[in-house]
Amino acid sequence: MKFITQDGQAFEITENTLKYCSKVSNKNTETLNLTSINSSILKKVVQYCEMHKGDDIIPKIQKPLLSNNLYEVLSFKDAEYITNLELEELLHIIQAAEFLGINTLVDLSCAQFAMKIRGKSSEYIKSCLSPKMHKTDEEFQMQRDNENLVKIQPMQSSD
Amino acid sequence: MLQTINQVPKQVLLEFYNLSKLQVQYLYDVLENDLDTLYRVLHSIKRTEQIDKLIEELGQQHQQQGLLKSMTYGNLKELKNFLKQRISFENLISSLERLNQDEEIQKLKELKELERPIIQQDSRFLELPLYIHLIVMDFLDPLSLHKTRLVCLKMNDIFNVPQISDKFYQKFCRALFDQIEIQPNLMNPFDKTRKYINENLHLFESDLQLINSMNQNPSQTIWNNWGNPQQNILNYQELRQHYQSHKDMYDQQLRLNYCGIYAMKEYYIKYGEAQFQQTSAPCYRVDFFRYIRFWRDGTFTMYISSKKLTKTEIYEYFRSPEIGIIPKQGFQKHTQFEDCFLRGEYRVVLDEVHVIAARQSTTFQYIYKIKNYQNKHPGNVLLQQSGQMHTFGDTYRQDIGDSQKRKHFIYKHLEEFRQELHDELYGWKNVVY
Repeated sequence: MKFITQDGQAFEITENTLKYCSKVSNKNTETLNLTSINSSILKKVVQYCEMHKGDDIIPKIQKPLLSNNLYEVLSFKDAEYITNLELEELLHIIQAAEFLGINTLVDLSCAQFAMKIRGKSSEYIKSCLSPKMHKTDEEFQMQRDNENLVKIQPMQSSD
Repeated sequence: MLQTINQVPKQVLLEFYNLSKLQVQYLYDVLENDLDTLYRVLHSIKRTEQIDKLIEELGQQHQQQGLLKSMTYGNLKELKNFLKQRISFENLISSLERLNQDEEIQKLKELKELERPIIQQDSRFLELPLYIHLIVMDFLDPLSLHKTRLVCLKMNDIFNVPQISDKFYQKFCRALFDQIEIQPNLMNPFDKTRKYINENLHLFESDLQLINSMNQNPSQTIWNNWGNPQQNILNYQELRQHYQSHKDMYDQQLRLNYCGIYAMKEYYIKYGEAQFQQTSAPCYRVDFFRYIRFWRDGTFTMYISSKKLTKTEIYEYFRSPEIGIIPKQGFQKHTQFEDCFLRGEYRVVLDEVHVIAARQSTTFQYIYKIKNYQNKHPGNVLLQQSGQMHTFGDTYRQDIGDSQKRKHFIYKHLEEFRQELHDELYGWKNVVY
């Protein structure tokens, strides 16, 4: 199967990795146009599917959360995968997983979200849930500069 | 024009003579000529300034409908409190303006906005379907759940559906009242002293020889069993029959609180000696404090001190159940430290808590009644009903007859214990309260 994302990049995926995608595995088509999902986020979702390729059953997360440490609640692989993700990325992953029908990923990311909210004050929660303000022109320029730097660096190393 | 306006009947004006005619007429028009509600409102809100405030608030469009509803169907006491708060708030601001204190006015205005922060509707989390909100809410403990409910309106709407809220409260009630699955071994004080003596026979040789020479049945002379053989323990399924909904059970059912400390101030009277050529002897009242923390295994720790403990000390001593045994530097300090601690077992028997503790050869038993003082928090106060002390050969029983001067513990909740609660078996249940 091929997934084509918003940016136009194509991901080739075998049938084994699509075990957990309940909505997609039934279809017989070879290519899927996913216009709502970003390429960087599809990478993460595919990474999760390949991690659990060989597992027959993924254990359910105990509700409610037992402790503040994710490593005690989840398996080591999942905890490493899900920590150090920002809130916006989390929400994008939830949307993508819900679209593809991966229930265990939805549970994982919701658990991480709940961990961030748990035990915090209401002002912090408000800042988590409220949207970011529109970016100014300067911030867009900074973003473009960073992307250009990433492209230039391999050129310099070849010299 | 004037003929179509319904005038307020004269009786009403005479009864509420302190209000002006225009005010009453305005309210009568706003309530669409409903005399009953007019009477109710004016009876409960009698003061002129509060009615002035009411009319001011009715003039603002965004509050008009809510106020009308509360006047006709709602609780008028709350309306009165609402008006009082607004008046006092504005009085504060006007008095500060007179003193030209701009900073404090700004602070007060900020306070008003921070009371109940509500998020806007644009955030991406709100675009997600409802079952994802439910999953997140399932992972949370009650305190953070209620905080997010205050912040996020969509979660609040989901929670207010009665079937969903019932499921959540069922979960919390099960955790609170289906708790001690293994019944602790509550031994009688007599049995406990006997066990201690059997383990340390070398200390009591001379005493035992004396008793054996005097009496051939020492067990009969020392103590007779006392206690409550019909101990009914709280069970979740039995409780369910008494309440209509799980929320009522959660709010009203008395329970022991594990995330904080019960503190009591006690006194005893110490008699001094008379000096030379003095007719009367002095007596002193000695105050001391007791602090208890109950754990989920069925054990507790009690700390007795002559001074009030600071927050840091409480956090040190009551962080885990084994802290009393950990020795501090130096032998003398170690013994002094240990003397203040009491480790024992407890059992909850319907309304009461039976507590047994042993220290060397003495054992103590106390019975406390769980109460809800001023409807603040279920399990707020523990009243002492009886206290008994048993040593080898001596007994001392104190049954309290006066109902007025009863010693009582007051509960103080400490947030710092929430994250570091000891108890791996029932870990998540400790987070509840």
